[in-house]
Amino acid sequence: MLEAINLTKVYRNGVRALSGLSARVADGELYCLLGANGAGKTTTLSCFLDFTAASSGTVRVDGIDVAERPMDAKRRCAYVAETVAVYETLSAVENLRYFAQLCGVRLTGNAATHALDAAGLDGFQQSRPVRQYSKGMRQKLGIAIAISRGTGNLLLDEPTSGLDPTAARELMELLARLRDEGCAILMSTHDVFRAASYADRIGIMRGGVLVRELAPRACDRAAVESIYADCMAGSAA
Amino acid sequence: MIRHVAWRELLEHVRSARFVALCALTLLLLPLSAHVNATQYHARLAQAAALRSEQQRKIAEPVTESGVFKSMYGWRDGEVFADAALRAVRAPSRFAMLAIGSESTLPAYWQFSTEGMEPGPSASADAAVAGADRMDAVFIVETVLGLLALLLVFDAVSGERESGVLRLLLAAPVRRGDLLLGKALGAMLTLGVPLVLGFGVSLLVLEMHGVPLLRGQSLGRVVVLLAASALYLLNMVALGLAVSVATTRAKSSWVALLVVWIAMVLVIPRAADMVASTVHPVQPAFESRQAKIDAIRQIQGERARALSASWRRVSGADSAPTGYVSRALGDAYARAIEADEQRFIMRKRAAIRTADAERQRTTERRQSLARAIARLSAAASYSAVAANLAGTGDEAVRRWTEQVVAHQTRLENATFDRRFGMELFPAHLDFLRIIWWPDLRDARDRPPAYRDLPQFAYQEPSMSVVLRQSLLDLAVLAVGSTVWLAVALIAFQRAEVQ
Repeated sequence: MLEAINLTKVYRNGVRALSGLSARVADGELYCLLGANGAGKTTTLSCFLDFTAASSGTVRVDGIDVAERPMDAKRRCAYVAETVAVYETLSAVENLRYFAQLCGVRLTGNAATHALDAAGLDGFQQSRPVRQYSKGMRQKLGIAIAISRGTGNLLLDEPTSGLDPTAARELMELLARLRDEGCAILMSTHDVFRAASYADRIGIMRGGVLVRELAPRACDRAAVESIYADCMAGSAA
Repeated sequence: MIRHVAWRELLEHVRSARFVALCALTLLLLPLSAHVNATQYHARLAQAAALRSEQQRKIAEPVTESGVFKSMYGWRDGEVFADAALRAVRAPSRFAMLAIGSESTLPAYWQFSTEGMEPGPSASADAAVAGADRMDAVFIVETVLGLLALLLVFDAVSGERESGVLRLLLAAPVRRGDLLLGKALGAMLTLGVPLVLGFGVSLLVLEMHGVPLLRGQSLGRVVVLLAASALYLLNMVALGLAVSVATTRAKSSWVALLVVWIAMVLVIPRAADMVASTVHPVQPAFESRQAKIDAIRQIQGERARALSASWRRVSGADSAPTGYVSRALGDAYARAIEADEQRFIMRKRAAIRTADAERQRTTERRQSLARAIARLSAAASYSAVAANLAGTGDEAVRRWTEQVVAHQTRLENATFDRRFGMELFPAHLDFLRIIWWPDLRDARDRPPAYRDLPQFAYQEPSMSVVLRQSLLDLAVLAVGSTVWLAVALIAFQRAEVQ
């Protein structure tokens, strides 16, 4: 479970990235944060990952306060960046093993291969150096790294950005499966249609404020897009 | 956790082109420098052997040989005999094959004389033994491996921040301190490959040249040199990490570190000498020598007048005697001048010592200031430790000077400041010196043979003394590494991941 309570973040240069954001992602829920660039989506994820300290408010992972016990909180959530950056000279298997080791997970035998298979990277690709990978393949590797940790919480920063439609759909299907297995997923995205198709709830952010929360299953995709456009225009109810 | 990070860093480093290129360069240069320096060592050894052989030949000459005792007698007219028998010949340092230090500028011998001790020409004044000078193992570690250390870590944080890997790393439950220490350890392990391999091959080359360094005291010195090298490289790694943490782009950290590398390795050590020489200029050797000779001549003039007056008192005549001087008259004259002779000898010694001590003090002040400035650079501290180990650094020069000055005093007491034969300075001959050479049949008047004089033997400092002398520079390296690591750790802890 992921929880942000009255979260505010003001950067050292005075930029106010978040203003009193409160949101909660329950176990088995896929929550999409929508918003324009600079809306505060990435900052929200950064607070959960202790990349940056909140100026005020509380961030909790499975009830653990990130500010008080950052290591325990990190043990409970995995992260996939917009562009998965890993070690270019290492292969996917080597990268996966390394990042798993950092999280205290020892991938023995074929466990690494299986994790990569599950993320959609075939055997031939797994042993190639990552510098030869396309963006989609990198994204799959990022997902494999996140899944291999076996945490109950997943944070994704615009993971479908730059992916071809098939790859994006595969990724969303994978996330839906994880959600169904009980994982709490918080994902920032610009992709309104996929958010509307897969998310249990959508949070729309503007200027560091969560201006609207909606359950897309209660409305069709066109309605979600319309509400999003209204929110961006500043006329949301 | 540190172990995992270090191992991955090692894996990535050893596959990188920068590592392969600089490692190959190190493995080429280290054995090559060992070969060249071993050749030069043998040339210096031959030179020292030739000087020793000349010395032994001279020492073996009988005391009755014409003129042998001339150089042992204290008062002349300012001339200095470069007597081959009265030299402290310096054996070249075996360890200089790894760390040259001041080996090429240190004198091949020191000359003892009645006008004080003077350093002879440096070993490299002989073109046959001059050569690649500073291309020693220490220089290669300082420059090539120092550069490699910076190349391994300049983008350790800034590069990962730029590429985005840092976000993924810090999303893992790993302490930032562990991550940074792992990176430092990984870089050190990587650097250990060319360092240990390079030194190993170099020592093998030296073994083939018949100069084994892996035995006895030399082995201890090799171990300490390796430890000092590791400490120096740790300094560079820690500095590189600190700069990498403080910058947001890999390119910026590389430019900053390149400037620091140039300053540390090339600029500061030389600038330190320039500044120190400007603040404490040392009188050139020939000027100092001339000043001493002038002072001695002046005392000699006064002595001539005093001895002339004594002769007048004893003999009742101003003029020099013609022919044989009776024993009774000679003894009376010797007694009459004894007090004056003692006084003038003391004045002469004081004049020599004052001039030498003044030059020595200025030299030490200059060296001390140069060392203090140079300690801003880890490379200079590392060089100083290496030169100390090799016995070719400032400490070695000071030790040689101390021992040579002490031996000069022994020779002054044994012969230079003793009186043999008889001297007169008749006023009517304008105080021209007339000498009656000693009667070699008379035991009281016979100067000692060379072989009866105290012989010079350089007392090598023990390993503990060398370590004590290197302690400050080792501490500077250790403190430097700790400070840079601490700076990197603190900055990394406080950094926000964008």
